[in-house]
Amino acid sequence: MRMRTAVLLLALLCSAVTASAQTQADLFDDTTLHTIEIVMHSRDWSDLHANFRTNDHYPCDVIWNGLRMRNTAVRSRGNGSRYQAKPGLELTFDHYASQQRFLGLRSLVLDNLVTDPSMIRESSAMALMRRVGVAAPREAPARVFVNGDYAGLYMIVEPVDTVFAQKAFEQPGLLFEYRWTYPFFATFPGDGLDAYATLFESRSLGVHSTAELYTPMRELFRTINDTPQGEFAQVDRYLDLASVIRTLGASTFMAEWDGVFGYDGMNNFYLYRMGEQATLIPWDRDQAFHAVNYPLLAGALENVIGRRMLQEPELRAAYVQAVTAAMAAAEGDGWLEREFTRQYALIHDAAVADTLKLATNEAFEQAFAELVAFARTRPSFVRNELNALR
Amino acid sequence: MAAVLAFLAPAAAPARAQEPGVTWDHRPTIVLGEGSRIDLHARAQSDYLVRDESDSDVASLTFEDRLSVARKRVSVEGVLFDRVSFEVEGEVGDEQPWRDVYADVKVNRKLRIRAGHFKVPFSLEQLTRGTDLDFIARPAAVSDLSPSRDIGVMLHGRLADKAVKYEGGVFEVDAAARLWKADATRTYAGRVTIAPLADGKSRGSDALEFSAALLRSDLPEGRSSLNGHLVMGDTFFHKMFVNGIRTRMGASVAWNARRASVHGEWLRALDSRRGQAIDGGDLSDLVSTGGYAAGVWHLLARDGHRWGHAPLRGIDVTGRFDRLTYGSTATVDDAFLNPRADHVAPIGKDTWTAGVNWHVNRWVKIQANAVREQIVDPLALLPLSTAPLWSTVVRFQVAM
Repeated sequence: MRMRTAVLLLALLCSAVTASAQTQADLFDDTTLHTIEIVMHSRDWSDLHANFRTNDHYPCDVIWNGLRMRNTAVRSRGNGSRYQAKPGLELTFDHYASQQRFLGLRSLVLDNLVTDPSMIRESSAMALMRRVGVAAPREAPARVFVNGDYAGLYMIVEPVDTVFAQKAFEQPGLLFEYRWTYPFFATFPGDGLDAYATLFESRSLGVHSTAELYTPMRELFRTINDTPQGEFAQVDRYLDLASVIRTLGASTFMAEWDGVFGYDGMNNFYLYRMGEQATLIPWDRDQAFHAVNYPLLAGALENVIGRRMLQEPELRAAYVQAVTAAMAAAEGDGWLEREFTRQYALIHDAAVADTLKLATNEAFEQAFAELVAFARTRPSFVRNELNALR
Repeated sequence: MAAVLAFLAPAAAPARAQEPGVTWDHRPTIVLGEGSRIDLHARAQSDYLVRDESDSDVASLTFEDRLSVARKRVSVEGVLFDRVSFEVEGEVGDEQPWRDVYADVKVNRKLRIRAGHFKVPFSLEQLTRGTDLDFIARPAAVSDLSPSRDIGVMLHGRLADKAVKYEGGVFEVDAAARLWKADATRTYAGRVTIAPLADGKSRGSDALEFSAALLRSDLPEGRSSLNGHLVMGDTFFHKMFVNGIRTRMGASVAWNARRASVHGEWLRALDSRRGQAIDGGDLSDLVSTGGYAAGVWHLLARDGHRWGHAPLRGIDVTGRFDRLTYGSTATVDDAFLNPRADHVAPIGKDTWTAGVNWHVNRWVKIQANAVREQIVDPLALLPLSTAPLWSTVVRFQVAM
């Protein structure tokens, strides 16, 4: 009896040590297919499906790698990816307790991957972003179970919040999520601050007045539009041009057509402002690797930032350099093709077993083949376009 | 316009008793005959927000932004044949305009029967008409824990030489949406008031009153528990999932003298939560508790004022403390605030209110209230500041 108690205590101790040893790096380890279990009231799960277009939160427990996180909130999420049969999910750990964290995280995104038949575009794009030094969210694939039932293959996505931004830029600041409301190409929205509040939703904690949040934003766009020809570098006071150009260069190589230089205006980014100067954080890259022959300047010339940047020789050269660096990172050692292949192999069985996904298994296989083709042929196309741009 | 009329209105001519016709005594009255009359009422309240620390953008508000209309009501009250009294009251411009709509039949002195849409007999403050309140806002314990109006039938009357007043009835909860439907839910309400002091020939003076009330309501499954609000409307305690029965209990005391009055209440609600745990099990009862103590000093009382009536008064100085707390009967295990938590973390709010009421004349009242609210969150779970929040509001009221 005493022996059995001792063994039990030892097992509990080992379990506790294992649990406490988990880190964010383990959670976002993209070499592993993770398993996440969600325990929630069956009525709430039904309601979440029925009301998948709303952001209503429901309480749940989340179990990952032996860790059980109680008092968590789950909600349906996404814009174009809202899908009733397989809702995108956001797990929020501080919704019901402002100081509660899970491995230091305030929340976690479970991307339902319904807008990308290959299911690996975004995770590969973010990996390439990080490879060229852009602060981009980490991602890892996971099989998600709700009350014991397989809910499908999801991608665990590191949320862009103040925890992420402060860690990435090592400074406190104010975070804004860009909200697509109309085709906006960085023209001056006007003197009224409401126009900025509509486009840039505050994601900062605490209470901030509208003036505190959006007066510097107005100055940013005034400077972008009103700075005299030849002096666009003045924008650097409000926007970290070096960092932004690095992000734009990588997006350009990846034929991202729904980003900052999107086909229908700016989209899918956060803005983090430290003091006066802001920088961009990429988000939602499920439309990356759009087409091998997607033009380098598609969307750039319609956007005031892109157009004016390309008119300045120094900034234009920096942009060419950023695209070149991203291409080198993708091409070197065949990294991008290997990354596609590795991720495909990792998720393959879980993806095929996911009967709730929007695409068929044939479309999944076809999309992977297109990604491999992109990795092989995009560099030569980009090289030709860059020669014309220099 | 109503305000101007109220200021300019000549001194009222007393109605000649029981002669059919239209008279003016504080308000238009149609006398139909012996024991039958109809009174017309109109009430308007407009608030001006002076200060609100819960709104970081309040400094940029314009005069129009700061101005709001709290009530604009018209009503008809009357008595027929000295036996049936009635009231029909509506909020002008409201999507659901009807407030008090009922008939009250006097069987004898000890028994009356009321039927219609009217206030559930529970809280002293909630039963006081909005234009007769000593403060601009009711205490949080009352506004958040007490039911308001529902459709029902109630027996009431006075016993023991008027020393005991009783009210008991059954009401359809949220009747406007559910009446006659299969999922109709009911509240059974009872309230007893004891007035031990004499007032003239009989007892039943409102100089001193003790009351106790008990309510029991069906509680359908859903996220429909009671929730807590700041005085400006923001929610600090959100609704929880409940299922079963809601039991409310309350007690109050009111002392009214010529120059001052004091009153207070204690209220508690217990919500059962059958099958509401995330795994489908039962949760402990949700407990919502509140109370307040309020005092009014009539600086310029001009008559024998009694609290709860609408006498001629001059200037009142008022003060009130109220507290509202939420929790659960379970107190072990980790305390959480999620809507399916078994041990609900204790969350509350303490509020101090100081004010001045100026009764300009019998129709016009101007109130100013300064409110200091402080959220009580011992486990620091809320994303809200627990620093005191000040707000100041001035109300202009015309009622006839």
